[in-house]
Amino acid sequence: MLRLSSRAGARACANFRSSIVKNLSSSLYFSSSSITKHKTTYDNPLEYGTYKSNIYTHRLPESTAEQSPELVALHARLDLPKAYSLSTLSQALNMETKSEGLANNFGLNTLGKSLLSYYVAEYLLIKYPRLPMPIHNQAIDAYMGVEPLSSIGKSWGIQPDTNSKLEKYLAQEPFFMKYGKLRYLEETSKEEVKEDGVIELTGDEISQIEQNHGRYTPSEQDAYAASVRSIIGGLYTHTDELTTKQFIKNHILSRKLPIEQMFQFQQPMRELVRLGDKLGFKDPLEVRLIAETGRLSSHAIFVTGVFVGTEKLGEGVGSSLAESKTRAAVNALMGYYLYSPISSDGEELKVPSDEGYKFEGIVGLGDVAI
Amino acid sequence: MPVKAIPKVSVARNGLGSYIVPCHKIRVNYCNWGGSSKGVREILKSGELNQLGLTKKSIFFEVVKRQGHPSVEFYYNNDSVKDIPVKNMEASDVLKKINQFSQASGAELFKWNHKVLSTNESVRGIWSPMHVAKNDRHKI
Amino acid sequence: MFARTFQGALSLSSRRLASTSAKIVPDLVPLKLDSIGSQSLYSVISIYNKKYLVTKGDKIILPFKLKDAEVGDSLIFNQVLTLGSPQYTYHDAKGIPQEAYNIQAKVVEITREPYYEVIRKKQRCRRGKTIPVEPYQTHLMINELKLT
Repeated sequence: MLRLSSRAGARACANFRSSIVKNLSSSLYFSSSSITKHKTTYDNPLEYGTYKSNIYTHRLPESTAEQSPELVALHARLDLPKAYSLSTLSQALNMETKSEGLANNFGLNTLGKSLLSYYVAEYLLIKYPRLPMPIHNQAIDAYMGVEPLSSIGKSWGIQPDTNSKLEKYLAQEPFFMKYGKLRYLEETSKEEVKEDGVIELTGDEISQIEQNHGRYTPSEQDAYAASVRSIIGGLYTHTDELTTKQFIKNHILSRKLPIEQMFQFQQPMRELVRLGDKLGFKDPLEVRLIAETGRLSSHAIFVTGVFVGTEKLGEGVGSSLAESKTRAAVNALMGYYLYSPISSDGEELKVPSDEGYKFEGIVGLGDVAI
Repeated sequence: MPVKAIPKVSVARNGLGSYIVPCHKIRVNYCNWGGSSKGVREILKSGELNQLGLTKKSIFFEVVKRQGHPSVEFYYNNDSVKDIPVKNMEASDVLKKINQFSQASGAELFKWNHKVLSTNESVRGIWSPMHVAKNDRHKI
Repeated sequence: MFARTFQGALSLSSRRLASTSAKIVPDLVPLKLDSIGSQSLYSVISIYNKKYLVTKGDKIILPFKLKDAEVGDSLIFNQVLTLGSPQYTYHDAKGIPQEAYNIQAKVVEITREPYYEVIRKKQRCRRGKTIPVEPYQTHLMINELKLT
């Protein structure tokens, strides 16, 4: 979509804008002073169609949404179906609670999060059934945590709305332009003079960092992640579960998970022995030397293997006997934990939400305690 | 202690699942007076830029009238911006430039002296002298 | 590391005789099982006359522009010589029948390589010819690489 503008005046004013982002509290949705208490009424708690909210929020009319070129471009870029209205897409990009009474993406965010967590968990559990729980949780985070989702949002070309009302007025920016941008900043933070590389935190945010074990996520990341989840939630509301599942598969599950790099073993031999006990190995675990360059060779290489009877579980190469033994134990454990089952005729397994699902995989025996 | 998890982030592979066009915005800057903007003005008047915008639906086209020589800015999703001067270019050349850069990602140009760029581990593994059959082992 | 190779002639089985081509589609179930359902599978494909060894998710970077290919187009490969897993390889110099596999790539980017100049000059001649070089570069992302 094309858009004409005369930027002569706005240039001068826009120049003093730098980039301190005044960070709101982590709960970007809740405004500090709410006069009306949000209340939901219904005829019958089970009749979801009769649920009504007392805070009136309106949706953006489709005709206004169509005018925003960025919104139309985003719709085309993501190849969204025609049923997905531009009004909902604009709602997915809106995190504001105070201005205009336009519906924001809180509901869509929750919906998208639920859908994502289901499909990602399902995929991981079928693909790696023996993965230890902490690794499984970290893998879920790697796919749908705040960081990966925010980078997905950025790769989708979503731009934040950083122009203050004054800048928009001076640039003669049409009112509908902001409906295609990610709106999460408060007006005061847009007007602040920002300095490169400096972020101003409030007392609440500092206490939240301490609560979060020293981790700080900028509100921009939160906003991008919320927009991605909301777009997924919006897709579900306009189409069906199948389309949403395909969308999640294409955009999130197609990413490469560096699962081999996510293991940090503490006492691998001990863990392997315990695992052997759990699996009921009759023969004891033995570490045998397979090959070596020689004890007195310079830069000696030892290859050892962990054996159960005549079967080799894992093999490791090291510059010392101890190192190669540790590596062998680690490789044996990795081989067990990263087992990925396939069907008997060599096809990939179906997940529970697939059509014609019949459980063909395996159920992991659970984690090992040392 | 049992195995601990190292936090990691999944890596994007554009084109594997779905393909997102990396160029999300094109800004055409032109001047109404200068002769160097003649080509750009032609494509605006004749509606050729309009037609191009209709074929490239996933890109936001912005046209800005300002003083000075014309240029076209390409905004990519890795936050890089390419500013291409199109002064004194013919209309067809300007369109060529827009086509060329809208098909690129914002990454730095590089000459790849190999065939395939892969982030996957090798399927058959890497040869190891310690795993050769005993008879064929290298003897010093 | 050793890999057992099946010669194209040895392990043929007449499966799917109703296919349009006269070729017999090989039975690649051992390959399917060994590659963990095509997860660790590689293939040697031909683009024009050059061979590329690829796995799923790889990027082929070509130092030229493909004719009639635009960004976002899908390419289906039909000149495949080898399909391999960690322990097995299936090779056919004449090309494996297309019904046995599904290998596709997406044209992800058409850009250029960095500009440089080549100066051709002879000894004892002052004139030098400057040739500007800025070749096109096509990026292909291997979308699908699986055995059917």
